[in-house]
Amino acid sequence: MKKIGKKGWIEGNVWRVGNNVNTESITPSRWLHVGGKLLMQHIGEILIPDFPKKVKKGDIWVGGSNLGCSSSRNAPSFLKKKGIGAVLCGSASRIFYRNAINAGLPIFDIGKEVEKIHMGDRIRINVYTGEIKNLTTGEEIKAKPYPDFIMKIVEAGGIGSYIQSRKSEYKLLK
Amino acid sequence: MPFTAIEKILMKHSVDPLEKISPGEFVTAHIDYVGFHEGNEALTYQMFEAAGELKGVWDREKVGMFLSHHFCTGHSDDLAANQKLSREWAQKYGIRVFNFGSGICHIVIMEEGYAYPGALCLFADSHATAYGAVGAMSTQAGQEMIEVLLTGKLWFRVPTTHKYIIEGKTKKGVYPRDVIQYIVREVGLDASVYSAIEWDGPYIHSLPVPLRFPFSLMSVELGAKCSFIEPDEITLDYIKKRVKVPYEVVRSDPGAEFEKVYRFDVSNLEPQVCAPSSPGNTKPLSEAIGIRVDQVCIGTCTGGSIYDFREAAKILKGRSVKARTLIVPATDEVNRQCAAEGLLQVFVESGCNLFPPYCGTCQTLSMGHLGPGEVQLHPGPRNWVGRTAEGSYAYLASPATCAASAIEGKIADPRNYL
Repeated sequence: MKKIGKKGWIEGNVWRVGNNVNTESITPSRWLHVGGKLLMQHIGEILIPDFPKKVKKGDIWVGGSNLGCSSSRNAPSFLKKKGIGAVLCGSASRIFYRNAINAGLPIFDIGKEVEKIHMGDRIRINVYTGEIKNLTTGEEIKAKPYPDFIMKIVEAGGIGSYIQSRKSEYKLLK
Repeated sequence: MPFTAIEKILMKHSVDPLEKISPGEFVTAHIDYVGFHEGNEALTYQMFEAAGELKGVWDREKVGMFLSHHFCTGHSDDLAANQKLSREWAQKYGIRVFNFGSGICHIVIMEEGYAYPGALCLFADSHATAYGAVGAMSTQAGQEMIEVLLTGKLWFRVPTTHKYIIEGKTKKGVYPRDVIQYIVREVGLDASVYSAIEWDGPYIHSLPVPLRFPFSLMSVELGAKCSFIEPDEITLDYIKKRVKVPYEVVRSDPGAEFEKVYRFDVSNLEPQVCAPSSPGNTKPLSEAIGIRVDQVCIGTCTGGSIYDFREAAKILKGRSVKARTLIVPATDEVNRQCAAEGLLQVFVESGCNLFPPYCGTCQTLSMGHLGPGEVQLHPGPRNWVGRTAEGSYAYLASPATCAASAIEGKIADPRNYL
């Protein structure tokens, strides 16, 4: 059984940012360290002023190349907390990519195809197969599906719950 | 079959014995050392709880907690509480705590010999790429550190390697900090996304190890997963009294495949300044001369070595600063050396303020916060919006350019003072 969405499909509206978007501009230092509530009120506003007020559960964050470069702060986990259901990008910084997987936030890098996706488009993504449908333009894109072991982390909802689900394999867990 | 140094380090650490390896493959590997800092890591510990309660960590000698990075001294209720949480979390598992004043974690790890040739290290911070300067492979890990703490292992995607060859000898007033920011501008912030960078060439190998740190540490500003500088006699001399465990130097095989090769000749390079608000926004110093600076920091992870402070002291000796100026040695070792050489005296007499060894004002969480519209100049790696107060700006330059600019209260040419 597919555990994510309906048969693996996630659907939402696109919040589009450009190339080399750094994590400080998503989750600024001054809010990151003072606590969750303020950060959630201001997340992403440097890039898209309306974002924290208008994002809806299941929306899709879409970036260009090198998405989430710079600081290792866990921007993906905060985007997920804010309601983002999946991330698409031309390419992702390694840290952002792994943070997303480990936060259980599906992320697909789709190269130049990302240029076909614009702010406000309605997108459907199958997390298991990598099929992406742009319902606004009718275009279809195919992302490379995850290897099994990564899919298991995403499907479990992140590394914490994945480890929890295999608790008996860890001698050091109570 | 020839392999790159990074491929060889991954093969050596692989849980399953491997005779060959190629980019794109996944490898689960044993880890030699992991570190945490106080930053947002209190949140990470809460995330660890999602997996359950730990009975301990796989090897407490191989884990360090560095209260060195974001908050230095806990100057507010929230930050002090956060630091307390980090300390208590580490103490609970018998993990060594490096308190504030130890210095910026990445440099401490190399000074203390926790990173060494052929080692595989992780740190919960993006600048973990730094330890390539001593011939280790090192990279960032975040929430997945829970897996490492429980098992001592983590999965990696084998990266391609890019070679950056630097030739030539820099002119007076031009430093490694100028060279690296020039290179970031030339090739772009996404030049080496998800790849390893091997720094090479006569220029790199002529530098003392601490002046190689800007290249290995700022590899992440080029998108790199990790960096590598082949250990030479200078490296082995640097680590001689630091590394306490047996190690084996790893080198790229002749004929190993590098996905991209970049070449730079720095013979004619002028001093560089990186303008707001991206580490890719570098220009020649001549285009930035005269820009007002309210605050100058001399120090940080990429400008806080003893070599940097010697240059800054040459410029500041017998002169007074106009900008408010923070001196932030990278580590306690550097601080002591500055004291021994009389450099701290020079800084105090010129009107600079001495701060404890720390991360610096690259992110103004603990010291040197700016008001709206204020401008600072520092030699740290980053100047993105979001790292300092709303409406404030940071320029980046070499510690020598910072020192000259502190004197004039505006961006100035260090060559006029050398």
